[in-house]
Amino acid sequence: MGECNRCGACKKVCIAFKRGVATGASVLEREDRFTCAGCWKCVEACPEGVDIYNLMMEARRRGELPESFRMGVKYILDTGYAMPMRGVNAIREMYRLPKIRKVKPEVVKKLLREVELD
Amino acid sequence: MERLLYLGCMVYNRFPDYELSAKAVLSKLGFKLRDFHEFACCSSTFIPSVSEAWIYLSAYNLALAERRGLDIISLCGTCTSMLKRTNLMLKDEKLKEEVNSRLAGVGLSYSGKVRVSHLLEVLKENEDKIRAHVAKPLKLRVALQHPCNVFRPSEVARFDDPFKPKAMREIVALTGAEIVDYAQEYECCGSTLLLTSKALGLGAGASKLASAREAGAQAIVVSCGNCAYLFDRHQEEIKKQEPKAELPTLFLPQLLGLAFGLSKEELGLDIRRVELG
Ligand code: SF4
Ligand code: SF4
Repeated sequence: MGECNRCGACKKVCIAFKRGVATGASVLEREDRFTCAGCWKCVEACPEGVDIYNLMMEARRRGELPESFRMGVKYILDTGYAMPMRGVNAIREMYRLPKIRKVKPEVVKKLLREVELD
Repeated sequence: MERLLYLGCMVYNRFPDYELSAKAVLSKLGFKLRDFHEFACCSSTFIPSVSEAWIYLSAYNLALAERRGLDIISLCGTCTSMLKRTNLMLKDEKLKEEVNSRLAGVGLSYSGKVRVSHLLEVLKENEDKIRAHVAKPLKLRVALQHPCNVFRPSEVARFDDPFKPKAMREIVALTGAEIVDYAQEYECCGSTLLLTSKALGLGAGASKLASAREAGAQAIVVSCGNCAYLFDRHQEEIKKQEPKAELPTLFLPQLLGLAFGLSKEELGLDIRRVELG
C-alpha cells in the first residue's frame, strides 16, 4: 500500500469535489468524510495505490457520525437491515413474490457485539 | 445453474419489480434462483464507518450461502462490493479464523468457497443465450447508468473497465434498443450523497438525468437499487428542481424481459408503471 503524495488526482475525479462541497488537498484530507458517493473513483485514480477505502473508513470512525449514518447503523443493529422492513411482505405479495424469512435480531447482536452507538 | 439471489436491503425494501424481473429473465436463461432466507445487510457503508466488525455481518451471508452449497447473484453495487471484499479479505488465514470463531457463535462457518456475481456479470457470461431469447427487438432510445461498485474498486470487483465499463452497453445492445451517448454517462449517480445532503444528491441526479434526456433518451436503465432510489423515488423532487430532468427509470432485467416478449405482469411493470415518452 502506497503513501499519499498529495498529488490531487483523487479529487479531480471525485463527485463531491466536482459539485463543490469538498475542499482539501485530497479526498482523505477533506473535512467532511461522510459526504461521499462511495463511487471509489478516487481509489482507481490514485497513482500511489493508497488504500483510500480503509483509510476513509478509519477516519470516519474517529469523527462524529452524521444522523443519517446513525440511523443506518441503528437499524442494522436492531434488525439486521439498514432500513425499516415493516410492511415489506404485503408489498411482496402485491408483486406475487414469496415471503422471505428475516434474519433473527439475536444473530445480528452476536455478530456485531462490539458495535455500539453512544 | 442453481443460485441464491441476494436482494440487499434496498431491493428487498423498495424494488420488488427489480427482483421479479431479474428472476423472470434469469429463469428464461436457465437459472434456478433460490430465495435467500435470513439474509442480512452486507454492512453497506454504515457499519464500516463505525467499526471493523462489519466483516462479521457480511461473512454471515456468505456462510449461509455456503451451507446451502450455492453461489450468489446480487442486484446492487455496494452489496456486491462488500461481499466480494469480504471474500478477498478472508484469503488471510488469521482473519478467516477470527471470523469463523464469531460465526461459530451463530452455528455457522465459512471456508471461502462462495462466488459472488452481480447480475450484470451473470448476463455478460450468458450473452449468447440472451441473443437467442430476444423475440421482440425494442424500438426505444435509452441512456445507461453503470453501477459504480460493480466495477470499482477494480481490485475488489475484478470485472470490466473501472472508468469506462462496457458490459452494460453490450448487453443492452442485444435488445435492439438504441443506446444514447450522453455527457455524464460514466459519472456516479450520486444517490449516496442523499444521506448527508439531500440537495446535493438531488442536484447530482438532476444533472445526470437532464444530460441523458438532452441526448434523446426515453428512459434511463439501471442495475442497482441505489441508483433507482435516486432516479425513480426522487423523480418528483428532481423534476421540481430541473424540469428537463424528467426521465423514467427501467431496471436492466425489465428492459431485457420486454425484448424477450415477457408480459408486463412478469416484469412488475403493471404495478410500478413506466411511461416511456
Ligand atoms: S491520488 Fe493518491 S497520492 Fe494523490 S492525493 Fe489522492 S490519495 Fe494522495
Ligand atoms: S468514493 Fe467518495 S471520496 Fe472517493 S471519489 Fe467517490 S465520492 Fe469522492
